Amino acid sequence: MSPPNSEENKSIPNIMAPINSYEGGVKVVDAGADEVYCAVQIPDIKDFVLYRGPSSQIPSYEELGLVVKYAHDHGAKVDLVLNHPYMVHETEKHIRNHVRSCVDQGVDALIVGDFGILHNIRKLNVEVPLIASTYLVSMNSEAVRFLEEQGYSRAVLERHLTFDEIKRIVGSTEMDIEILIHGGGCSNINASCYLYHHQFPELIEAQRASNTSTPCALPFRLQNLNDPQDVSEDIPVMDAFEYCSVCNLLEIIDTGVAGVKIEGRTGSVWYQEATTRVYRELLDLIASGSIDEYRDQLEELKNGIYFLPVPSDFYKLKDIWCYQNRCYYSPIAQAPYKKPLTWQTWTKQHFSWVNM
Amino acid sequence: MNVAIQTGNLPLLREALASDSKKMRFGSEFCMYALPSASALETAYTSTRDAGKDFAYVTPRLADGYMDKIREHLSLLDDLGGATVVVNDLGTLSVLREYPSLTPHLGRQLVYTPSRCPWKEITEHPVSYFAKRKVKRIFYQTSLNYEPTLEFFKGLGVVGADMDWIPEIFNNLRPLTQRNLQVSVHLYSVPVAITRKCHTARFLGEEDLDHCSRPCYTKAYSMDNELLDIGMYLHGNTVYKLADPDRKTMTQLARRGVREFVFTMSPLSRVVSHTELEGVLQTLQAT
Repeated sequence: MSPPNSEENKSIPNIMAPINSYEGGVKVVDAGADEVYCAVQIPDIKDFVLYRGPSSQIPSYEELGLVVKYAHDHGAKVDLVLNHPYMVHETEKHIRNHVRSCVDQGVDALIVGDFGILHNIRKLNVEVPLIASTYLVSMNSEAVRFLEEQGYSRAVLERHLTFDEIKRIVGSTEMDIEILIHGGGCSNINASCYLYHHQFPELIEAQRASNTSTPCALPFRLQNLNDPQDVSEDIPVMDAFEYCSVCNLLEIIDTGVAGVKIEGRTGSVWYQEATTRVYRELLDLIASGSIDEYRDQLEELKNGIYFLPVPSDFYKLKDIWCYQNRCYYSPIAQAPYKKPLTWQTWTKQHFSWVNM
Repeated sequence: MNVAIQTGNLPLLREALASDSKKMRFGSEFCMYALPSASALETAYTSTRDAGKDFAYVTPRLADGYMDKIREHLSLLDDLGGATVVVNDLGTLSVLREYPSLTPHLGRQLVYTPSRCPWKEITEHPVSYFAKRKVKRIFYQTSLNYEPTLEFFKGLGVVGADMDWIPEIFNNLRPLTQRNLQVSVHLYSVPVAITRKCHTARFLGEEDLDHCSRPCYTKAYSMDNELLDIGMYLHGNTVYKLADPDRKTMTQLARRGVREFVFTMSPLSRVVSHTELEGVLQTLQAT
């Protein structure tokens, strides 16, 4: 028998879809997700909000139970995100109760990103597979091997890798490897980025003024510390986030990863469902050997109305993310600061006298 | 008070060696592309030891191809007689177990510290007084303040860890030193965001990071968004906020068991020569 991650065993990876509600769970499972992943609000520490907070979480354990039941009834799995990047004594009791409550609801795996939380899970003696979160920054084979030693059975790799690097990691381990493929990926390494998306008035105002939604996309004026005359215009200097992988599915399958993950737990149900459906259809075409149809569908997608986090009746995929080269796993040095080719920028380019 | 001088290349190291500091840190803390060559590492090691000073090798997070290089470097240091290795990658930490002569010291990327965040609003949102106090208690700790996490790393041979100059976390350093962790505190610069997709390189149009011209050796930038009004700085692939250390607090930290302070020579600290370094060290003595 060939090893699990050998060339012969490369197969279509599972789709992991994000949800933050029962409704989302139903929709993404119906849209073809093999697994859903979600977080649940921890009742006793809900005031400690590093990111966007409750909007990314299922509000109760009961609702999680409903998601698990629906997913299991339809042959899908549910992974629980224990989305705390670190552990302190003040949260110990709450995290333990939380893990116990979620496991009692029947989740299939726990996504864990901290060794303190891992310690608590071991203490609870729960028999649930563990997935290493991106907070553990798996960027190389040694790190993945180390996580396997610690009891993880799956790892989600850091975003900032190339296909060759992913392939090399997959080939070096018996563990299942997942990668992120779609959604507002991070410009910075997740676990080393403290530009929390916690919304406060000045940040909201700055984002609104620049029509951006994350701190790393904001424009900044750069001034060379050793040459004060060297000043740039306002540019989104940190903006290197990736978005989409529809064109790269063949390369992704070739890496041998076991799972592909869509980001967007804060997204609308519409986005979660639409994105899952798009990837399901494309992967199914590839699985059936219909590569020409896959390529035709790509063209249709690029020219079609884009599946943004909110429905849009104007923007096309090719005018937004393709134009900006927002491919996941694009060359590491690439990410130009092009504005999306929206009707405003197009008009500005062609009719500079128009005051917009 | 021990101030270790951190440098990322040999010219800066030579300047640092001329100072009174007893310890040199050499290497790349944040960028895998800026790993030194094996010969540069050997030169750095031998010239530091020849000057009668301690040597620590600083390593960044690494993608797979760079692990081969780091293995070569660790073997070299092992052959040369051992050193402290500041480690920022779980893979490197794992490999270090094969080299008993090398002492792992956790770098800042393996110590989760939420208060590196440049905005404090996380602890300020409108909740009750008691809830706010609890949020602050959680926010101003590091991942190592949780005993099982600390013990986990100590079980891997870790003897020390790097921290930042964030006064709100200083009370939480004492429990670490009491548990025999050698704590080093970086002066001046606090890393806020680190990327592999180097922001400086993209800004300056570098197309191949493997053959990057190293603009980070000469350039650092202030970053200004007028609506956000928060001081941030870009140096290489890392965004920082700056801190303002003072002698009195350094003395207090030393009393709490902090073993050393770290000063990084770079365009960000605007200290790139021996005389500038002496100036800073004297200022810290005087304040």
